[in-house]
Amino acid sequence: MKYPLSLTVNDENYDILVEPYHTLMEAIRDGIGLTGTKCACEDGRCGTCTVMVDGQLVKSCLMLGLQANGKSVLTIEGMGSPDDLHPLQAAFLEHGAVQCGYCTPGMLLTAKQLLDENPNPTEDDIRSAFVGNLCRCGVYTHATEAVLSVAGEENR
Amino acid sequence: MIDCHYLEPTSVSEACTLLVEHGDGAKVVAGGQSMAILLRNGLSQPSHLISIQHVTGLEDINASSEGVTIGAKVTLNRLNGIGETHPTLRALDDVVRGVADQQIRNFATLGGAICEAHPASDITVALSALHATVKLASANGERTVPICDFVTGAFATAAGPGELLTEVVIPSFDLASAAAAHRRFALRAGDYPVVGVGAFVSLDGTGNCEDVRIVVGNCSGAPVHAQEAESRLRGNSIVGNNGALAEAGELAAAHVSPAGDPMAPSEYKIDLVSVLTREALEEAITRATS
Amino acid sequence: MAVVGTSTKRIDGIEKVTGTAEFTTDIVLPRMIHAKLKRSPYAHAKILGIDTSKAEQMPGVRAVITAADLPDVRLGVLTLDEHLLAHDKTRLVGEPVAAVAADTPEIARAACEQIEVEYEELAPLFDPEEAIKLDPPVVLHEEYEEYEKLLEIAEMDERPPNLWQAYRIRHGDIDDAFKKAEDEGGYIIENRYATGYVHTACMEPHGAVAQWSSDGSLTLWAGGQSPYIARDGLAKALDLSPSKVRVIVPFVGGAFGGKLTVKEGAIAASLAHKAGRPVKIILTRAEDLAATAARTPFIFDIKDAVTKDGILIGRKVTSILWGGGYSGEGILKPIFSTHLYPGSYRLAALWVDSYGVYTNRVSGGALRGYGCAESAWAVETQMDIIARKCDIDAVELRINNLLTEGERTAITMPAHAFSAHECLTKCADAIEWETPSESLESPWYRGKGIALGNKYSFAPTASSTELKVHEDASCELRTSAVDLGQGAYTILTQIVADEFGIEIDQVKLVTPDTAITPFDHVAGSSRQTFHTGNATRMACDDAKRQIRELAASKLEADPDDLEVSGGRISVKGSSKSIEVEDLFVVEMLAGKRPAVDEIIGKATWEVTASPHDPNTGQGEEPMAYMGHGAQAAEVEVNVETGQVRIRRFVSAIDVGKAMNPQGVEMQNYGGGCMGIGIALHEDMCFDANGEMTNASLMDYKIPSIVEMPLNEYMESIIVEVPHQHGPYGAKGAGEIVVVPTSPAIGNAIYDAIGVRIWDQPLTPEKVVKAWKEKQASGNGSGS
Repeated sequence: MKYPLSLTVNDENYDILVEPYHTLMEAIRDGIGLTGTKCACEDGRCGTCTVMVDGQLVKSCLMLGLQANGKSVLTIEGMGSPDDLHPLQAAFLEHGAVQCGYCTPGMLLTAKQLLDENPNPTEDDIRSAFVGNLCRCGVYTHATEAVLSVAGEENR
Repeated sequence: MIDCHYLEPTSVSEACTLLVEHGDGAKVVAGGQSMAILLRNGLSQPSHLISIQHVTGLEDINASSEGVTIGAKVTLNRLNGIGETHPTLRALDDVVRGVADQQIRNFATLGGAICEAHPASDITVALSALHATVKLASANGERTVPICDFVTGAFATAAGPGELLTEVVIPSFDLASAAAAHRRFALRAGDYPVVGVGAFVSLDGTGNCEDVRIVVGNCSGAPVHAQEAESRLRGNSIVGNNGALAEAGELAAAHVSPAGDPMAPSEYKIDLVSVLTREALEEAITRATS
Repeated sequence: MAVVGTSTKRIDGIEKVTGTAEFTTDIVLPRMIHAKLKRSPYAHAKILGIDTSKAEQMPGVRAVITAADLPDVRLGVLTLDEHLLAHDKTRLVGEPVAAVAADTPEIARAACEQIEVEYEELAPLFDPEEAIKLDPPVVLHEEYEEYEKLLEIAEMDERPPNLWQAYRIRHGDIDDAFKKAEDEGGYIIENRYATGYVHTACMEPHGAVAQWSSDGSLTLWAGGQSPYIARDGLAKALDLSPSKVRVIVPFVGGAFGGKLTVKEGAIAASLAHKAGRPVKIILTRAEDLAATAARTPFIFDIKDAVTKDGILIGRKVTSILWGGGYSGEGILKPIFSTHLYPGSYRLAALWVDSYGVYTNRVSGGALRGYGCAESAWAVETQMDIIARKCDIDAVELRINNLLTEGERTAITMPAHAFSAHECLTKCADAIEWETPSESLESPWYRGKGIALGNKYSFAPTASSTELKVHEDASCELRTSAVDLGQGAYTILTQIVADEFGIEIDQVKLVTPDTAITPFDHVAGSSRQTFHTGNATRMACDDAKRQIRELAASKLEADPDDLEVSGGRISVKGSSKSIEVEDLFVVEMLAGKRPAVDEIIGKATWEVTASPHDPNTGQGEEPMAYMGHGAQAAEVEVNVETGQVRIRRFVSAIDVGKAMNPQGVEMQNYGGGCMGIGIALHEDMCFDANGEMTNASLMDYKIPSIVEMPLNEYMESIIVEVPHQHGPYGAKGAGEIVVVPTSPAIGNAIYDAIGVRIWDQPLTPEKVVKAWKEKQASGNGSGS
């Protein structure tokens, strides 16, 4: 049976109905209609569906929608807009860290949490952060450059 | 997947009551990190999902002279670096930093990781080496079970009907003469290991091995105790005795008969058991003597 | 303000970084329902009956189809051997036998489980060497002789019943070459190599959305590599006129050769027709990995004749491609893989027998490098072995055997814009080839390896574009070229901006939609910069010609004396000029319109080719162009765990002209990443019944960031040797970047620990095994 789910996504409130077995990813994509969050592997390995819940990074295919009840979710659409890109979004473009773009939303949110917690990450920190984000186009080298370019000066 | 109910108890006793009430159809959801996949694939089709998200009192880490008690809902992320505040848990630390990735560690709980009983789970291996016990609550009270008895096979535990894992207790030991370590090898960063080995050693006053535990993961449904390897070391000189450690590795390898995984046939896993056993022992001894 | 040749941010990037890019998976239509496929659990079975009645009665189920609901046509690329849904037989685990459309994906999946299929299990055939026998234990396609075939294969006295491709090269006197090597103190070096099962594993799974109009026409949204191949495939499968089919390509989440056809799209279309509703189908990751075409393995037996000075004088190859249940997109691989046997080298004698056979596993498809990446594994490992045997440096040995500009290869391809030497030497310099790797503490060993590669771009082929000029002097390029992530849209935009002397943001791209955009062959074979780039340049010329003609009377000048740039038309050598806008007039209530005709330039770039004779492999100029590249790796090998870490990686590729240097760098790094995965980590595994056992991204291990070298040890080198027919001299870059990777890594492993592993991938298990064998035998295996 469907249950009510109230949550905030990108500072907007939503009240939708979901099945208990529906994941947060399905709630965001199908229930709310925000399709920037992608689905790729369905078993929690690839990180394409990464979002933030109450400031914590999560793979939205691994959290039930109802577990996010009352919580605040940040998706790629809330990170920046075409007219007002987040510095990481701009850096990913500038440094060539985007190819097909399917994994990009998840990688950007991962990069955001890394810098939120550690404004001056080393390359090793960046690699550890991206372990859970697979990219078949292989943008890793450029993504590392992009994150370092936004990070503090001392580790460039 | 036709009909499924979602229940959110707020206390352990309420959760236990619901588990009894809904019997086999009830499944506990903690962080959701493994349950969400099973539900999505239709591999688990519970009638009732019991979310313990709002159950209080399962999120503490307490240390006493007896040991360290970790609540079932403590996330793996919180355990990252736990060896610094609780040095007896360094082997758990070895594991946690390599488990999956940041996203998963943020929400995966210790209790969930144990109860999933994944055959490749490093956490259970490390906790077994540390002689950890788990506390199970039910309407009839509580019972304590050694973790090596709790995980009974692949995706199988000894949790009875209506029982909820509430905490994990890792007994203390003398850091001046004992230590544990865990070593793993995965084919790719962030993946389940091909093999993981946890080792605990304690030394007597002369530097001989007083006690040792060697636990091997992903070579059977549940972690395997490498008893012959332990016997080889117990009572013998092990500090700086590379030969003995290598022999222990070979005995541990001889003890297991794992099924092969894709890209990791049985013989290769056996080779790794030997290498990782030796390395885990070396590291544990280094820690115990420094 | 030259834009071509400068690093340019991708024009589709804003959408991609803000989550507004719409992929097939994101499309939602009113009343849309969801499709799932019922797939065969058997590798080889007769279908005795299918009962869909239970599924049809389930609430929420809107349509169920089987082969009986579809036109009885066989499909395929060049050998038409496959039905959309299995007809009377299934030939691989996962072959679709029925399909359901329902209100939700969950209901559709549950309904598939309710479909009862009665099978008679047949013995499966997995071993290609059994399959190729004249009297094989199992025959997969009993009706092969009746199939329609669009390609002639080599003549054979008797065709082995499971064989679908045979191709020969007969160049020079091969027996003489071996005799000479023997008689004159040279070497005969013979080895067997194999490649593994690799999947494109695009982050976006295969999918499509189908919708019918009341006039009986079909619109399909599918993120594929060629809207026109898709359109014609749909038309054939559904027995429609191609004009009744419209294919729109949204953003594509990676393709790499895996999204050439739209089988699942055709099934969705059929369901949509039956249900009277739009239908969306998105494959699960498990379906995507286990049941869509893969890069299936080759076996290569290579025998080389080499003089004592390390000059290659003859090469004999026999190869077999494990073709899977259907020939599919793998059909040309046994041919195209042969291009690497001469590769960049001079070969007086080359004798090749290359075959493709049916086996009861996943069908063979394309994956970045189409056969060349596979044969390079054999050829470039062989070159390393030859160098060691002759005690000649591996770079020097290759250089000594290189062709020179203007020569023809043993397969009659002219060596033009021949940059192999430059790629090789620059790559070697970057990895400090002359300096041996440092020694590490046991059990770790370090070593370096290098390899050369080629990628040919196929022909005959054609690309058309249209270029419309607006009153604000902005340009609109209509193309069916597809940006799969490789950056095609950005490069085409750069070309238009350059040709018109306008800013990048004054160029608008109309992306593939067969109702609007003209023919383009395919986003494959590294062809879009070369072919679509040429067509775009020509369409710009055509539009500018029209502008000059329209402006001539206003400027009172000869059209040939006018030039168009930056939105102005000016008379050469004078200050007289007008704006493009002046060619438009105001129409009451309707803004501006062209004063005469719409200004639409159009052009088709076509490359013809003489087909190779399948019996000799000889022809005129068989390909559009030939690209070169070299890669080198430094590895660290742990002989106890078998782990191989790539410490350092250099990719030096010749792109003729780097249209977008950052884009080339992205191909170098990204291709390197995929190449590292293919060499070391990726292996589709199967159980004894032919079912894939690691059909998830958890278990099918595409590289994570940690498998890549640190940034300071990644190097991208761009070589620019212009091609006479390339736009601005450019050649493609998309595939060459994975061709030399595996042999470079394998050669580095040999340098580190002295063992050869002959079959890809070079997994830790194989490293440990090879090392132990070496220890037991007291020397290196191989060479």
